[in-house]
Amino acid sequence: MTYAIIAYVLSILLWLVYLLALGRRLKSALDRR
Amino acid sequence: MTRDVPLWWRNGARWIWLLAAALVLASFWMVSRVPVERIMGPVQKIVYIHVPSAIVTLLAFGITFAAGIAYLATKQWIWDAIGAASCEVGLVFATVVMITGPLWARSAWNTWWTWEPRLTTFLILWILYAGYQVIRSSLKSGSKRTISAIMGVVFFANLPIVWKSVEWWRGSLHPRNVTMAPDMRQVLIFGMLAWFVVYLAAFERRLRLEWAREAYSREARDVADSAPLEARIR
Repeated sequence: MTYAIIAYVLSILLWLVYLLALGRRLKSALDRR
Repeated sequence: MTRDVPLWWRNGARWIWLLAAALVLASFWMVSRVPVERIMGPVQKIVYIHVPSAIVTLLAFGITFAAGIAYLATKQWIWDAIGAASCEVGLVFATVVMITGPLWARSAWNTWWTWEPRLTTFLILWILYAGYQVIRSSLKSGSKRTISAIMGVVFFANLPIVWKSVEWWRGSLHPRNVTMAPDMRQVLIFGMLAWFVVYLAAFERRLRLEWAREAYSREARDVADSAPLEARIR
């Protein structure tokens, strides 16, 4: 059970980090002067 | 060309994001409710995120391949943007596969890693497409698109090898065919749908980034072109 929970938690964390970083990259590309 | 995508695109994207979040939450709920597999126990539930992520990885790199061919044939920037966006999102899915796989293997095969055909070919796939990101980001705009398209086409050669590795080589620990109980299969197929919509949502956001970069470089080009003219008028 522990391994399954770790697998899901790590996957969700990876996605959150990627999507947050992507959002910041997009914002800086939109605001770039 | 405006810096951001048209309004209809942004509005549509909102719905895709909402749908993706709802489907993933529903998928997790189904995973928590589905019966525990008799021999492996709860750790078998990793399969409901591992397999859909692997399938979406192959799909994403397939789109990079198709976009690469389209770019080489037409030289239109949008194909390069589609290829790069799909490749990056595909790499995130591939990383999920690489994280969840060893956690499964530790329970099922009593090892974190073994050099069996599917694992080895998938690791090669991950390295190739991670290399795509590194090489693309290090290239100047002149050759960037052509070289990215060529990489997208050439690296695709590994995909059928990953797919067929369980049949082509002996010693594979991955099964050739899996028979699942209908309720388990249902959860797996729903997971594939949910993660495919996540792919669409992330792909849309990444493509928007390419759009903004293209708009910026056009603005910069226009400014550079108009500068001498302004100087003459003054």
